[in-house]
Amino acid sequence: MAHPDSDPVLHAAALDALRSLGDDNDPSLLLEVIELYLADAQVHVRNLRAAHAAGDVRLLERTAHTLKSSSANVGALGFSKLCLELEQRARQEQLDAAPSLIAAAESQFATVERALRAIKG
Amino acid sequence: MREKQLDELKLTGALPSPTGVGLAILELTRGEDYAMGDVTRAIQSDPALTGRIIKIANSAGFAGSQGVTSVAQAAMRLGVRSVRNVALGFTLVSGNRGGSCPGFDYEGYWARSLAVAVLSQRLAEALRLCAPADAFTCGLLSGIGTLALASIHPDRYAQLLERKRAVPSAELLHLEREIFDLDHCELAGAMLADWRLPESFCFAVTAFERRDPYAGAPDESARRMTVIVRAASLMASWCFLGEGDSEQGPERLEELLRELRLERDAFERLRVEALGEWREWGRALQIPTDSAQKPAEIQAEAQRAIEVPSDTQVRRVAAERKGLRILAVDDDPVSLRILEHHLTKDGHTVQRAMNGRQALIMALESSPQMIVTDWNMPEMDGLELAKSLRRSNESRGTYILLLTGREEEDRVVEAFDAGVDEYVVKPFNPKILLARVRAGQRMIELREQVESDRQLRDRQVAEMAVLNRKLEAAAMTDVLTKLPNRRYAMRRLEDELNGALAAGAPLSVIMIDIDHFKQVNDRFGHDMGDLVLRETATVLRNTTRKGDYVCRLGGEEFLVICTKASLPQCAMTAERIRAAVEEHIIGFGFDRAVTVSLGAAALECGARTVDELLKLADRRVYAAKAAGRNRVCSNDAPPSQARSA
Repeated sequence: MAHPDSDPVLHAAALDALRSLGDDNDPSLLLEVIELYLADAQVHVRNLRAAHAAGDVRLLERTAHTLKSSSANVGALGFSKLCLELEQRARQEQLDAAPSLIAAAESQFATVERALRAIKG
Repeated sequence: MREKQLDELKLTGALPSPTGVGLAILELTRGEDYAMGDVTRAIQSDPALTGRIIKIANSAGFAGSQGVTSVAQAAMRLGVRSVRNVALGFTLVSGNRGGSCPGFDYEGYWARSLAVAVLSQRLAEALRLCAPADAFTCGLLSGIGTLALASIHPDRYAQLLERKRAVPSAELLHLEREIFDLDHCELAGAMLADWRLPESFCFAVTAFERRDPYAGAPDESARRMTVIVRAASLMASWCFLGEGDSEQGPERLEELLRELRLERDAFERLRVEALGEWREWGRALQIPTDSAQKPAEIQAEAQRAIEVPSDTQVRRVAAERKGLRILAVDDDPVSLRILEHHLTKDGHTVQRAMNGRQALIMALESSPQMIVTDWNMPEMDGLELAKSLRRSNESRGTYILLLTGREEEDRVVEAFDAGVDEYVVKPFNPKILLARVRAGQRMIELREQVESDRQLRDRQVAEMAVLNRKLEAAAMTDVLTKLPNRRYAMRRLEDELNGALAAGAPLSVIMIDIDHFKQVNDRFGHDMGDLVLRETATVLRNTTRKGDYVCRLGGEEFLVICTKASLPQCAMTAERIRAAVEEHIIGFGFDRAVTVSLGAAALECGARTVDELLKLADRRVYAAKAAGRNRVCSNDAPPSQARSA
């Protein structure tokens, strides 16, 4: 199992890459992407718990998959790894560890959200 | 139009023709008895076409009954033949919505065709003259001849349109015949026949624009279809497109309604309904129906095209275009936004879709050059999207670049099988993604270049075909009288004689010689001699029946081939000619009539070959001359009475 706590919340290199997107014409792109990400991810994080509660393994897998990709995009690699683990478990229908993984994801997402909001200023 | 002529044009490959599913349907329905299942399966393989067929079935005057939701139900309701024809019509729209004739308003063309289609459908329903779905198809294809001429001869048709714009009173059909030796109505009829659409369709599209549209209708259903398409075409001009003389429009409309015995109120309802349907179809097929045409713009374009040689122009357009039209597809908004950002920054025009289903609809509507899509998505994933796109006619050539996660990378073979062209692993390095997109762009441009080269070559082949046809016509025509010459006469007579012998039908010929022609030349000079020949040719043309062939064999000798005529009928024609020539005073200083001696001969006289028939006729001309000239000889007894035998 990955140890998200050992990684920085936001991966500096990924974030720099993202920041460099908006160099010339589109300086607001980073802010726009953060906004898009947060709005989308909040819904998905809520869905993780809801899917598990409803016993919908496919929805759990899909939601974790989506969160995994979009989090990697904003440099939240630790959170992304956590989501990957959740996705794999769901795919194999090994749900014993799901509740603790979901709880970890929720708290990790709160940290990511704070870090991203700090960038937005 | 001769079949051979159509074959020549088909060889150019430039004729609008059904492709993909349309072609499959054409193949499946080659014979008379074809299975409904085959046709519906072919249609179902194209999702866009399926939707359109269902739409037609639901709109074709069956209000109140239960809605149609599948192609099979549509076939039950409309009949498999109608469904086949409608499907064929639609694949033509999708395969020919643009083209290389500058100044030909392709969008305007299809907007008009759609208007004629919905009005035909509504009229058929209101007047109960024929099946509404058939009327729709026939209306949709009614103008296909102009599209065909513009496709085969883009530059020359552009010049023709320019001439038509400069002199609006010039008749399009007349200009076409002058330049191409063929008009769009004739061509449309031949094309529809070639696609084995019903004879009533073929007749209607050939006839509805002519002055006397109903003449020669093979049967009642052909006449009815012509009534409908002609009325729909006029209504489309006056009511939907604002074409023609707006002063006279209302008056002529009243006249048309009286002719159709259609009440004003009923027509108003029909007009409003058809207008709504027209816009609806326009949206479904991505053809603008609300904005009026932009004549000034089109004219300017045509002007430019005439100034710039066409192949240079094609290359110039290619050089100007830097970016691609790309559809980006991802369910994750962040990834989609980033993807869009990179692509836009690299000069491409980007549309976005959030899942495969949405992407499929957008792709069918706007035909992007490239699709960059995520694999794993809800509703319809990237692979299903690729498969669906490859099935549809319109998107078969779209370049598809798939974004895959690392865990999917070992399944890429599956993706290529589904129709994907290239893949990039996520999270992607933007530089690599853009490099792959540019590599794809080279492929796309290469393909487009090949396509435009092909068009250029087709155009040259088509030009050659027209030239050949003109040369052939010239080789068969007598320059002085414009009548078919000896070579043509012999060939035609051979054909007619073989046909008549095989069918046991009568056939006869009249050999004609101008009396004392040598003296005309000697006394009045050769110019006057030529005049006499031309005037005599005119009299011959005007006094023979429609199916007869009047030819000049040479000198002062003419031949009339009277098809399906026995000796007595032929002798009557001969006598009519003799009298008409004698009565025709040739002016221009000659100021008198000439006379002719005629020999009539028929198969029933025992002649079995062209040679025998001509020899017999020739002998009788001499007999007529010997008996005093200005008379007809139609038997081997010496003609005794003066003037006629």
